[in-house]
Amino acid sequence: MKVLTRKALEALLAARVEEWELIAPVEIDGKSYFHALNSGSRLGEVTDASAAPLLTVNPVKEFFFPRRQELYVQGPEGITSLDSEPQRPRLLLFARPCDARGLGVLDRVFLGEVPDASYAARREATTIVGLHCLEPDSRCFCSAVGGGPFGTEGMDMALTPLDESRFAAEALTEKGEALLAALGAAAGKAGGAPGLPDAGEAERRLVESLRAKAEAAVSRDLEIPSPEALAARFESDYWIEASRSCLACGVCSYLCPTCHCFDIVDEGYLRLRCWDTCSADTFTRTAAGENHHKHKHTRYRQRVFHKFGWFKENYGTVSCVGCGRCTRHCPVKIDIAEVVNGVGASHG
Amino acid sequence: MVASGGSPGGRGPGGSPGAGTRAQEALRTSAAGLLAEGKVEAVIGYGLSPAGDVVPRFVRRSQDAAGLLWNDRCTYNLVGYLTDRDLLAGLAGPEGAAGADTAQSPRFAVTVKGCDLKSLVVLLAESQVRREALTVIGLPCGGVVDQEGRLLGKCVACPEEVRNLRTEPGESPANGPPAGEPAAARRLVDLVMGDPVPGDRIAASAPLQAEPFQDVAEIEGMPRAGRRAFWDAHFSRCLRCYACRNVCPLCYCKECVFDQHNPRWVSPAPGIPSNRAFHLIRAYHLAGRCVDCGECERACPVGIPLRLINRKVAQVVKESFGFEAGTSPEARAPIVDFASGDPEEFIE
Repeated sequence: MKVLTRKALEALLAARVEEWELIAPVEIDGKSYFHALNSGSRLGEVTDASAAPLLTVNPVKEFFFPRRQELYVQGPEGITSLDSEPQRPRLLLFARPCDARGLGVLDRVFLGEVPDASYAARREATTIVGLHCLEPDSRCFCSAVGGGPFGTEGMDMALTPLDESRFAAEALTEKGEALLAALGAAAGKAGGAPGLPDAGEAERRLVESLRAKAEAAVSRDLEIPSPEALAARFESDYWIEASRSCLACGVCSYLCPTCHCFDIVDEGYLRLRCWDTCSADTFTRTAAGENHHKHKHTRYRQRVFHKFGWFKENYGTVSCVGCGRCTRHCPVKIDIAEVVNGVGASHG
Repeated sequence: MVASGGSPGGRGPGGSPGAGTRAQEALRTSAAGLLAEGKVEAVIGYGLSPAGDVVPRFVRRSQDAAGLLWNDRCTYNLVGYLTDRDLLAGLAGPEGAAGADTAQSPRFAVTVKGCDLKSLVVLLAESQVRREALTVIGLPCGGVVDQEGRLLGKCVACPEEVRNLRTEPGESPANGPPAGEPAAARRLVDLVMGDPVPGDRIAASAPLQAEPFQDVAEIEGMPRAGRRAFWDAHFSRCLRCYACRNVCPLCYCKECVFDQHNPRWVSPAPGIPSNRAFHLIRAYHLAGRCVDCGECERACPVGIPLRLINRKVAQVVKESFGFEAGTSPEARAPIVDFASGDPEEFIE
């Protein structure tokens, strides 16, 4: 474990801004969003973001699985492929543990048997610097789905804020080691000794106490029903009750770090891929007009079964990282944890 | 942040706990009575979720009426649920569903604030709900707040007759009284809960907007390129989740233009041109209909100032036709009305 000063991080970002594509949280009208910064214009805000509110509105998935991805265009000469791979190495800064774990879930889909070339290229080009959560809130339930506020899964480097000017930094992969070395060199150029100092006993103890405090703060429990228990509730009226207030909008799926359903759409001669959501009436509507999910409660059931049943059967993990975005941003505050916990309690 | 405070979910509607408790008690008693006497199948109101959020609550048994809530965090406009036929059929149960569209169609009660009532007026004017099948429970309101406890924008300068539900059809100076109808048939609110509330909080906020369309004027005061940049920056974040449309009480089309597959009028893939088209077409479809209940802006997860667009259109309708939406169930909006004396100069 090393100690990284904010100054060294800022120095490296400033030096590499032209060379890298930087993806980091920035504030827009009082809300925090992950944003791709292609110039140094907002660089000053970036390191402050480590002290900003817990989670960004958007998860990081759009930088790997874009909401709008132009695939090809059909012209008189035939088909021209359009999807461009990242031209520059990318640094994803301050991904929270749930965000980084969410990419692990997407990897199972997009890097599985038939890898998705553009997703793979975007993943390969990106170094992920995670940021541990010191103050999880009452919506967070990362610990209930296998993660935690100090989790490191999916990160190349993990940062823990020690105080206003320093982080504890730990490299977790080769990419992380390379970045750590670059940060060390930047620290040297910024006037300090080259290389980052090792964390001392005091810093280690501080990290441990911060970890204990954060982990204790994630108290929300989730009773994930077994696939059999879920299946037994398939026809239950529970889904009507659970989704009664649902507006059938796409907030929960579009802000979910792991939802990955997409649609293929044509805009004239342009073919593209965009996100889709099982909440929408159009999700399973066929060209002939038939719709397998006419009612919002079967669509909501689809969401819960996919995340906590079928995905687990297929990939060995639930496709939920407990970030709580779906509940925070739901216009009528449907709480997925409450719905999942209610499955076991419902009879009928 | 969880919406919790001293009293469950927030302060009383006038900002004082006492008056709110009395109105809430009256609401629970009235709702229990309506259900016990079989006058309604369900009461659509507000409740508190186990996590402490105010949520829409659909009460079907009189003993559950004690779970109804009324305080300054009850922001939702529940009127939109009245056009969800699937939902109403489910609430009515098998017998009620069989009686749908007949003289014995199921009856429902809905709680409305003064601002919500305006949207109900439009639904009545457009023959989307049957007044005789509805018990309207009015909630005098001293302003509602967002999750951070700030008074909502729509509450700023809310007039006394609106927040205390004194708006009776035909009494509006804007659209003139309809002739020859008994007052009882034109009654909009069946029951009013508690006493009229003082507007202290609203009065304190009033100087924030001296002119009715000051916010619109500020945008219009920007140079053309600046306006374009302002809106494109906002539209670039739009996820096309359709929360704004789905939460809108007046977006009740069985098949929305944005959901049609053949022809596909607007690409469902997010992008600035398609997002612009989406928001502007939606605004046109609400011209002379939008009552500025603000639900679209509240539901938007990415903070697009949607009220600004709708208020601009409302301003044009007011200035061109002297019409304000939501003031009378007898008045027809200019966009759906026809006057034989209309010079129709634009056709030449």
